[in-house]
Amino acid sequence: MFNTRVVLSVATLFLFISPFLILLSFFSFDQSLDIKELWWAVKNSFTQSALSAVICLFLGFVASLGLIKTQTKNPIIHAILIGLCLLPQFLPPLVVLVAIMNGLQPFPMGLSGIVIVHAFSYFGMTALLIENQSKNVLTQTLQSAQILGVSKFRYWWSIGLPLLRKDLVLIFTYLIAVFFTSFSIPLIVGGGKGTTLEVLIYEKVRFSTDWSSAVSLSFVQTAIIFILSFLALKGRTQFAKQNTSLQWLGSYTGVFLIILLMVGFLISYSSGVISGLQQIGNLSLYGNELIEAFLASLFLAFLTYSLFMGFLYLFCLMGLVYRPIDIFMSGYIAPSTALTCFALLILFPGDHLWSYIKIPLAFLLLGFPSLYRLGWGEKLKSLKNQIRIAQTMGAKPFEILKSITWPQMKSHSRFMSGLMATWACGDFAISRVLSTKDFTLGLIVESLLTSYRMGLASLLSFLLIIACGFCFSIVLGMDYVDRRKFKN
Amino acid sequence: MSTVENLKINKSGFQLTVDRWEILDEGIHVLMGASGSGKSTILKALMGFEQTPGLIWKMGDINLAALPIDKKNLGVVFQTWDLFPHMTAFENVQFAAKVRGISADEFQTRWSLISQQLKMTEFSNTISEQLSGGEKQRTALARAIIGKPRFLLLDEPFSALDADLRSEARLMLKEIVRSQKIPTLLVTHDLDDVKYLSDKVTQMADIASVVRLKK
Repeated sequence: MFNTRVVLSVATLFLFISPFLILLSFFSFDQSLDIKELWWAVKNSFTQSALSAVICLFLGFVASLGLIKTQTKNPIIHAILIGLCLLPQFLPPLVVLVAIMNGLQPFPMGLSGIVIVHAFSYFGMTALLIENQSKNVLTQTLQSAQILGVSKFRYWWSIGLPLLRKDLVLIFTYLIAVFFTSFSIPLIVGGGKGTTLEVLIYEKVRFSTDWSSAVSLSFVQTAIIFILSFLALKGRTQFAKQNTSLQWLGSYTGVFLIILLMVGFLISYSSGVISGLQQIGNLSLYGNELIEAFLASLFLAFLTYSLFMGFLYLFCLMGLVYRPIDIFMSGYIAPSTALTCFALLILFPGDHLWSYIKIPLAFLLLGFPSLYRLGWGEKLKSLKNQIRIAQTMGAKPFEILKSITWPQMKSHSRFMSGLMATWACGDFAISRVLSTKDFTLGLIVESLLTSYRMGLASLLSFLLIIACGFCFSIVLGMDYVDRRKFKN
Repeated sequence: MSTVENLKINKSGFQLTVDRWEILDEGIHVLMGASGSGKSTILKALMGFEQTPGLIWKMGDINLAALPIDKKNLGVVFQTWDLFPHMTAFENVQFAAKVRGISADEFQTRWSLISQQLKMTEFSNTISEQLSGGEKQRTALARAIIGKPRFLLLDEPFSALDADLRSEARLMLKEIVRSQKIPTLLVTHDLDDVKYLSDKVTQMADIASVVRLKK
């Protein structure tokens, strides 16, 4: 057991620091880094991430009032609103981009465009975070305040927001970190004026082949994110949860905001698709390419799913996760998306077929630490005592994995892997860096988008939704079948 | 008697030391102390989950401390029972027997006996997630003893039960330990556990010293 744990732990550590090692071993810090260019890119990154975070937080707060209002009174409406809030997270980023670019014409390329897309993509998730934390923090004080006759506005101003301040700062910091390292959105809508640090890193390698500068920039970015993450570690407020409804604090304004934004989103997306249908004849130019791209996207999703499930299975074999590994995975910050991909470009041959290995691997390196932090790690750690008991019984590592750990982690792992596979299916950013041609639907849509062929881009993005939906429903189906088998 | 010697644990800025301690090798030996005094830490050290270089736990000719965790052949019940939630009560116990290498026939014999003594027949096919507190406690106990352990280690196994269930649970534990003849170490801060169960009591203060380490 000791040896298996040690081997797996070292292998995991090595896997996730390998992009850093590969880049360091090939390249050294550039002495003549263009400070002016660096400052300009950092300024852009900070400006767009701060603005996006502020707007996102504001919209998220208002939307959370709608979620709070419907929490207990209208659970069905509450569930629908949650679904709407999470929709931009589940849809491929290209779909969100297409919808927004259709709705706002002329679309403001540059920092404004980045901010708009970021804010829309994450306001829903922010609303959910605020709603959840409100439930943890505010229930204790609510009844006393109501008895005293405090008005809703007064409560929020004097009690609610001060109590939530720490959590709002945490959410704000988290959003800044996410937006700062965003790659796909600035790549498409950043334009020349809105070049962020992440896009500059990409351009340094792709167009200037200036690897030294790219690595230096990546370490600057990692250092900034590390500082931001350190601020975020200050912790969340936690009071004893009471069974008090917060409904009184909520507002239907939040409900209207969510519906307004999402209906607007759906209308502008639909109008793009309809306009695309009018140009459907142009699709014949693509011939079989579209069918191949559709199948390639699905195949990529399948490979990503398999790689994730395999990795999660092996990670579970570790059983009791060593504390250093837990700390590492909880705090690990991947090097920039662009540089992680470039590290893989160095490692693997450039033939197109190798893209089917590189892209899933990139998703693993970039995606697993986030999934670990988003609850997968906690779920595994919650099995600690069960694993200990099985060990004292004399069970071997594979026995524990097969009978104890994996049956309880399988569903969660499948969902996470399915999510990753869906994102891989709809991806264009990582694929753009790692592949030599437009072989997936995402890449074709991105090419159409950047050449302003909005109608066709919208139409093909719909095909992308079908492909992603197909992926995810297969995963859900497998889970359903599994649960039925277990029940019987 | 089994003997524990040279137990030293450094944890969270404290060092807990037990120079020498004799544990009964039949009946129920209760280790008592306030919450946070290190009782559970000692138990985990005996199980093998704490770094304790130099620890000796002699039982007859065997030094249990030198054996790997899976070879010590211990039965363990934690405060939270930690049943395998996706298995039924029966499957939880069966799993323990299987990994201990108990043959199917022997398992059937032992299961009949233990399930009757612990009154488990009514709920043995229920998924453990759906069991009541008392039922979980009995299942955890059955799982711990099915493999004929050398020692039974119990870490406050009744603390999550209601008062009326605790009395019944204590009675069952006493009967089954006596009938199965398994030496048992029970860690608790509950005086009633001491009153109704102990064949011998040890206070933490009598055997262990806790020193705050300099940073």
